[in-house]
Amino acid sequence: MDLAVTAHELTKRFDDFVAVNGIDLEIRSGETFALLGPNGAGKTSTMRMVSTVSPPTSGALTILGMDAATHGREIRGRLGVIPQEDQLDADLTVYENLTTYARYFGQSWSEAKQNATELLEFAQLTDRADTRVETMSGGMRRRLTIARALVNTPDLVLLDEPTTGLDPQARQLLWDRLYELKERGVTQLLTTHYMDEAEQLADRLVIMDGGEIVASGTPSSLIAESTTAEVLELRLADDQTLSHDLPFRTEVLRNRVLIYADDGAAALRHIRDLGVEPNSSLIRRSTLEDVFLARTGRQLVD
Amino acid sequence: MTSVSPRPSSVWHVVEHHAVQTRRTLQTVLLSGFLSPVFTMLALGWGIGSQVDDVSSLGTPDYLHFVGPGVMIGTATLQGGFSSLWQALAALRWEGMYKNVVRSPATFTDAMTGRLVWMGILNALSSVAFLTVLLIAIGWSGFGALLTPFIAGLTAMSAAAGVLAFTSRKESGDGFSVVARLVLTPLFVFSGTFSSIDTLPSAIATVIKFFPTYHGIEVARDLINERAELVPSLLHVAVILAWIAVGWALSFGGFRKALTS
Repeated sequence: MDLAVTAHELTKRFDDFVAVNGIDLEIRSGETFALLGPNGAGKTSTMRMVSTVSPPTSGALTILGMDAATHGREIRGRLGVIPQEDQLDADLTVYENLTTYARYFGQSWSEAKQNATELLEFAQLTDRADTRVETMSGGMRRRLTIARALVNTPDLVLLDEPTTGLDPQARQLLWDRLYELKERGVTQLLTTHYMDEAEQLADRLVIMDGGEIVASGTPSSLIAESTTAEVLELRLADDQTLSHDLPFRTEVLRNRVLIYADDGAAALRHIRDLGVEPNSSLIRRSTLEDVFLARTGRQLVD
Repeated sequence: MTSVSPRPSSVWHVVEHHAVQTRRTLQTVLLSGFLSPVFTMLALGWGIGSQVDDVSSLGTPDYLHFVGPGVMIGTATLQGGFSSLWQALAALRWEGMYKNVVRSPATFTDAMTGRLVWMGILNALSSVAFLTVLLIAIGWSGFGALLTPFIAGLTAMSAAAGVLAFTSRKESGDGFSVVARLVLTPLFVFSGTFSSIDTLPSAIATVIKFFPTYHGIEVARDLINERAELVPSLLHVAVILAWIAVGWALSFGGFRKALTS
């Protein structure tokens, strides 16, 4: 099995604060791997270490077969990094953003220009080539950021919260572009706090919390291992309570109750048989949010 | 550990990046780096200079020969120093230019070195234009004058490096106006730009000799007036180079923390 990234006991400390606490990772070449977790879980710190920008405090990290501690320049030459914030050159045109950045990867100006033309097509920005970035929408900037990260035809692409702040249409378009990359065999490492994004894009993932990995596997295996097939969500009146001896796992959240059952409809009938008529009820399939709740006792997005 | 020594090719890419950015603001750059000092020089050299009866103590044929090199190097100090305030902070923290740089094969030392080299090149180019006007005004003064843009570039780098050591540790522009008013502007005015530092109180003159602007002006003035001697000139240049080296070294920690923590 060809591995794009291996990390062993990877740790990052900032003074007394432990951002990443001795995690192990194995990311296979060609797969899309997600780091899922709430803000402050250690996802971005992990990403910065893998991008060889931020050195680990301790632990071993091998990327594309090279030691991250000694081959930073060589590794970065084969990475594409899409940061949380776009950080484009606002004063430059879309085209100049691509060609200028391509030069850092040792491309001649003619190579950079040819690549830029292709990437503009990929990002559906060809008609915006001469537009200055400061006049573009958030979705277009995000697509340009992704295009810029691909100027060196990377073997490994790191995406830190790639769709945060985007509207649903722009988000779907980005997902399509990322799927195209996957089809080309590009390995992708993704951080997100959107469970649907992780389920949609990731072949495998780890759930992080407090700098540690609390669960790992494929989205479907994690759901199958950690929770039931369906979830019954109830909203109860203020004076209503549920019996504690229900035959289902129950999570009481701020304004709803989650009842984990393989057959949500049967669970709802059971509740009603107990004389409880909820204000509203919803039966849905289990998601990674439920996995996170099961593993940590907390919600993924507060 | 990965080497953090600057790599020439990556440094050059940072220089190119700044050059592409500067194309957008070329008019402003030309105005502040060329036209403004030219007007200052001509106004003072011809205007006030015409009121100066005795220039024998200055060691130059006329006041324009004295003030021209002073304004050239003083302007390079201002340009270099100012570039390391808000512009540098924006590139380092607000706009993320250097955060992008370190995601490529380049390192944070390439970013800081490239920035300083670009300031040297930009100011050397501005000084070529300035020198052309000066030589038209005073007449051809020998091949030594052709070295003065190089001195202006080095002086700009030294001022940029010194201020960058301060800026690289800042997260906001607090204190920048103090640096501009109490360090850069006095350096421009009191480093022998408009009059010999011998006219200053000796304590102030001693302090002025510690800074690179004075040394840049001395070399440039000697070159323009065909009186440059090798050893003193090299010593002046050595002081300027030392400022670049120390400024670079003191910026190292700030850049590393801002870009790689």
